[in-house]
Amino acid sequence: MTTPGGAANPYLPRPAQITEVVDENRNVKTYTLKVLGNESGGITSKPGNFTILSILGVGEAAFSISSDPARTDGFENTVRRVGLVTSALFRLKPDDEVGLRGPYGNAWPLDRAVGMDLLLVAGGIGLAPLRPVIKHLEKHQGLYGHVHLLYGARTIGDMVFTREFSSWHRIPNVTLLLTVDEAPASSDWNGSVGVVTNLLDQVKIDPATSLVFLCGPEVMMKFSIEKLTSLGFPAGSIYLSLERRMKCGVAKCGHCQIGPKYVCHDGPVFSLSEIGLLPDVIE
Amino acid sequence: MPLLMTSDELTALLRDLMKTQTVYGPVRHGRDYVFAPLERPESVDLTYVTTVLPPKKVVRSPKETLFTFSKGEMDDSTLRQDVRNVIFGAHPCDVNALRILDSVFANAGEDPYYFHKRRNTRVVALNCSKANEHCFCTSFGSGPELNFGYDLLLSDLGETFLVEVGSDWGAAVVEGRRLREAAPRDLELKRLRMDATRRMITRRMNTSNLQRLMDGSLYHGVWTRLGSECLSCGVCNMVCPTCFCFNVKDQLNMDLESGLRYREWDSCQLYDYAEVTLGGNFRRQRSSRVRQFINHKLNYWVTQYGGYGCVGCGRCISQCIAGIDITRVVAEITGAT
Repeated sequence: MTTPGGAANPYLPRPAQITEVVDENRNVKTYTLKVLGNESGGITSKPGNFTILSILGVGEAAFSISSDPARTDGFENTVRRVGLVTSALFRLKPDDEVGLRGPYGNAWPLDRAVGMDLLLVAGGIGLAPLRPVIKHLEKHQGLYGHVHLLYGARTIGDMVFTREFSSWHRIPNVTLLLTVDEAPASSDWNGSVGVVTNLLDQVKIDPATSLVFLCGPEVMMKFSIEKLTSLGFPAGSIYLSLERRMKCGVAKCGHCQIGPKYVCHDGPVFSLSEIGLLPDVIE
Repeated sequence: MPLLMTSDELTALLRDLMKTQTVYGPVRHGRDYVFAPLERPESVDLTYVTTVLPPKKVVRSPKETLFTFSKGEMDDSTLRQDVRNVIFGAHPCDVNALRILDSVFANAGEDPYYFHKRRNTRVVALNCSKANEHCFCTSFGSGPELNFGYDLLLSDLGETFLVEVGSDWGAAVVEGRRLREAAPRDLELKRLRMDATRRMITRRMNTSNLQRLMDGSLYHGVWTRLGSECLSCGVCNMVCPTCFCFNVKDQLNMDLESGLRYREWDSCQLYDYAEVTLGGNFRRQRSSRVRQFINHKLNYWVTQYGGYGCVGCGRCISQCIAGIDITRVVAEITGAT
């Protein structure tokens, strides 16, 4: 539907169809969606962008796009069941329809990272917005130096995209290090045990020639920033993807503001130097 | 040349406007004034100083439907409804605030709901003849005299109203009403009366270098103290003519397949405003929320929209039940007395 001025109404979701649902773990599913009414079913997005999914009568919520940006036949959102909208999403199956707005937001600075080493640090479902980065790196290995991916979760059962870890391991310039806060003694877990910041002690990486992409729970980002800073990473080299509850996605509702920044429009990816001195960035 | 109009002529003009438009004007409501849709032209009281809510509610309804839905089909036809509003008698601070809201809702793509109403809302403004102890518009240059942003501008000259035309619509409204042209002495009278009003406005906010001073004071002790005084009621947001935040909600009918999605005014002073999933909250402390409100108006807004988000209407001061006074907060920060 268009507005009197002729522009599309930004608040009106367009229909999208679920084509596949993958259980990541007991609380997380990855939905493959295709846009109805466009031939390919895909959307044009960059790693770091997000969509807003809508269920009429329930509401809307924002989700990182977790799929390969090069994918043209659809896209993926990885959803953790935490509230009303996500619980309603969890009841949906392939062929069901949802409303779609976006993609919105900015992207991880992959252009700036060309020729540099990368340190990707993710916690829990915070790996979702970094998966498009990994897919991109896999396809453009020659453009980047060494990539360390440090991923932590509370338990093995809280990890996501585990089915892809072996293929990520095989990317020649990628080192994948895993850790869990707690592993049962009986398990065959061969990763580390402890918080993800501990993994930073296991890698040798030069802050002067590296960028950090960081996403995870608040407490994890907070301690990661402290640790990275003590290792000599300048604030301008640390990028983080922030979570805010967004009601509009188009810089109008006010909810996602941090100082003068709208997370939905100026973010969700920020360098620490952009926002580090602002209040209320991380709880 | 501006025109002159008697009260009777103004009432006749109002009566004519009301035939084809919904006219919102200041009417008495208990001890206060409110902008209300007029039923009789005589109910307008142009001696008012301020209203409880600013006239932004005409273009930014407290609650407005984004679309209705039924069986998966969505209908946003409110965007094509016939809207013909007049805000009658708005003071300069409130008119300036509408222009500020325009920049907010035009940022990052136009908000169709706002602009559908805004473009179909005419402004008959009224320069101020009086002020109260909370007014500080002179600190922002947003009053007591208006220079732009109106279709018609009225100035009370005592016996008559001076009428200045600011748009084609305004010209068409006064055309054919056989009004007298103002003489130079009428313009001189307006000038004297505006000077007199300016002298009534004694409250000040020192705005020189204000954004930088605010930005350097994000961790000033004043926020902690205000956090203990503020009651988080959110009335400052409700009465502020530039506050624009909203929440979006769905309402489902009993048939469980039809309903509507609407938005309603929200307040950054409420606890759940900056809440995220699983109970996270980026402004859990009242001190953080007060800091957000005041810094948004006087600091962040400048970066976001190129000017301050305050017009000095004084409502957040007069309505605050905890007695928080934005001008005193600024004085404390800038070191003024």
